[in-house]
Amino acid sequence: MIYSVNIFICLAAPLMIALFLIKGETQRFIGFFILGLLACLLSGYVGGFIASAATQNGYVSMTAAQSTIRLTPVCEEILKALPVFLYVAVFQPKRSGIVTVALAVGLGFATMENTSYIMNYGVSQVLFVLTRGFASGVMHAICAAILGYGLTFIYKRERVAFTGSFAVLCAATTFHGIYNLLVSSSGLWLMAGYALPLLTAATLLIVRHNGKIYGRE
Amino acid sequence: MIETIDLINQFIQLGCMAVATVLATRHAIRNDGEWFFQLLAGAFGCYFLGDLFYTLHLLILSDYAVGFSVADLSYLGSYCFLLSISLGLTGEWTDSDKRVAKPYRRVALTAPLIILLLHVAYVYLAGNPVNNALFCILLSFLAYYTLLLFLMSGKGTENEPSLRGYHGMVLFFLFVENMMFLISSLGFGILFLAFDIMMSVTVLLMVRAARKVVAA
Repeated sequence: MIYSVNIFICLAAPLMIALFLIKGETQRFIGFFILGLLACLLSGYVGGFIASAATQNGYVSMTAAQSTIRLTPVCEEILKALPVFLYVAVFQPKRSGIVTVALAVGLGFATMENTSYIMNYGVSQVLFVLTRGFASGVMHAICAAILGYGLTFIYKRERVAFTGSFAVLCAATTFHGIYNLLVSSSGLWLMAGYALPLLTAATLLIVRHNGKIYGRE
Repeated sequence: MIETIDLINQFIQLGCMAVATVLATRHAIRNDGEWFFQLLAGAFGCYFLGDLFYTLHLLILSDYAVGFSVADLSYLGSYCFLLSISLGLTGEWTDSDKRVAKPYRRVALTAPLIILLLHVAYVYLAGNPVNNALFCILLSFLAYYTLLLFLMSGKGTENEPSLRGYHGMVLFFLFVENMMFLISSLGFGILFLAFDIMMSVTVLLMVRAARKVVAA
């Protein structure tokens, strides 16, 4: 059995038990949090498979760094978005529910990714762990927020469902790509990369508190 | 030299896109989450992110983001937001509007036809057919619906202004964007710069034209 699957089982097992004990909003949050963990697990396989298949078949020649900048954001964001799209299409929830579900998936994804990263690279430096938590962790939450808020824009407008969903997914993917590009570099760019998610989170909070961004239900 | 010019160009575009995003977001908040401005803010925000990725790629890796990159994905996303606006507006048409629109539909088909021809020329000159086919399909749909809306919208009055100005600006934006595709493959650096600046200004005019209508 592969190592990351073990981590997934450890994280998901108690949450799955909790799913049967809790009802309502919290149950939904935990359910989508588990789906976020699963999305992270799958993205590792899918991203790796596509990169190796594309390189082996000679479609593109991609180094690991190029794959991180070009391929990883696309794979991760698509897998993160799938449960949210499904939720919106099947359950037709309230606007606030969409954002909550998107954030749950994003946080689940970030949790799984950070846990795997720490298991692989160790936890000896507190600064490293803090940076990882506040940069990569928050970045996944921001991407999820972009997706969640974006979907509220096209809420209950069936005519724009496809184009709008694709557009929102593209925005989240690009933000992820920018972050990966910055943290793949060094020096000031790297620092800017670490600061980017927190600065964006602060901007989103200011916008959220200054006005009604959701619109009417 | 070209890299420096390209960077200046990118910074101008980044600035204009950032201003347009902020203005559209502000209008969306002031108008109680008006869907039109929400999607417009999304379009400019997406374009801004694409430009940011492209500029950072150029600055950090000293290399253009060639082939299909994340920047291209965000440009496609931006067109999808604009297309969503057009689809949303046509979705609000009544049965009588649909009847009135019938003869205009044929005329509106000229826009995607022109875009198709421009893209055939572009693919012939620059290659990369898969990437350009994606842009061609999306831009064709956008051009068709925007021209249809432009033809359908009247001149408007002082009390009831129409969105004709906005649709006109979107059409001009599409024209400039396609010309930029063509010019970039022909290698006219200075002309490309002029069109790029023109596109950035068009974006700001687009917000202004839309704001007038919603304010009224």
